[in-house]
Amino acid sequence: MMPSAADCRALREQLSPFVDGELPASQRISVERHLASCPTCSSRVADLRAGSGLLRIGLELRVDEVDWRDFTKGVMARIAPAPVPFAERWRVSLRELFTYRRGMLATALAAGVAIIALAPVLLRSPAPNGYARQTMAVQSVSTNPDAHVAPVVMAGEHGNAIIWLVSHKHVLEGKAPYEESDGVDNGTSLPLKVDQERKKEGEL
Amino acid sequence: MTRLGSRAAALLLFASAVALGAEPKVRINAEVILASNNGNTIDPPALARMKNQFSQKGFAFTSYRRLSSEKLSLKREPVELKLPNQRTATLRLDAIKADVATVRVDISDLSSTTLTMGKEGSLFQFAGDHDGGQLILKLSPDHGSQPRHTASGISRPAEAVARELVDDSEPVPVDR
Repeated sequence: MMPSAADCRALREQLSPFVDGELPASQRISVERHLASCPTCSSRVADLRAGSGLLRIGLELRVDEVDWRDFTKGVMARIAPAPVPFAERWRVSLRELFTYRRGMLATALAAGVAIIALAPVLLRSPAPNGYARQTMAVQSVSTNPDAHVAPVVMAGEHGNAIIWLVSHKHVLEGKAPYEESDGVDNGTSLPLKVDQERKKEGEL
Repeated sequence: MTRLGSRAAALLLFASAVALGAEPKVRINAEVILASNNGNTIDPPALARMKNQFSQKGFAFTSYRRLSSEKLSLKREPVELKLPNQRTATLRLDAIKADVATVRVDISDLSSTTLTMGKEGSLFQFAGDHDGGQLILKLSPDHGSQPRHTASGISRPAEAVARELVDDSEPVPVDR
């Protein structure tokens, strides 16, 4: 028995979903029954399938022409990250810190406590470097008795000082060392002019 | 928690070692200079200032040549400086009190000097004959290690020591 035109009109809207496999099972069975007895609708379904096939082939050809190598990169570049509020970022960071980094956090706290505890000790005893005085100063000079020399300290300006050695003979006789050279390793064998002012001060 | 405790203990020990293990030391420049009347060489030219200082004190050397220059870090252990005239200069940090370093300088078979370091000045220590001239050991502060704070030491000035060395009967009072 041939279906009526009204049946064909009622099913016409379902033919395209039928071809695309989008109909539920009950409707698909109903459409298949109708197609079995309706050459007109069968022909229309064949046309739809042919069109769909052509469309698929056409799209596949277009797809083959596209360079997909940087597709993902291009898509990702166009996706702008949604701005996360500052407070939210902090909350997430702290949650992660307290959840997964407890050991590190505890170590850092212990280090902080240790530094605070040791700070008075560290600040109280800095390594001295010995330069608190403004100028250098001679404290004492002594000579080797076997050298038979006596020291003379001549102070200059700004903490400068010359320590020279003269023979005992010069000291005892009160002579200026340049007047006589006795060959002693005392630095006086070469011309040494002693100013009279210094002699008055009793340095030699 | 045990591992955490051991970490904290190690940290405390390390900090304590750093705090307590700071051995006192003082940095000093030591130069060996040959003063003579052989020529008119002033090498390096900076020694012209030294020549001027020596001239003011009556020394008539015409040539000053620096033979060596070293930056020394003095601690309790003595540091030996070989001089070209077979003598040895031995430098040692005697003490640091109130951040004032006292250094002892021994020239072998010749003399021993004790001085306190300061930000300014140089000590020119006679160190024996050499090559027709006189060796002078110049000791001066290493400016790289100087602190910014001001002096607080009570050492005697060189003039007082000089007078005292000549007049053994009456020690010269320190007028500071």
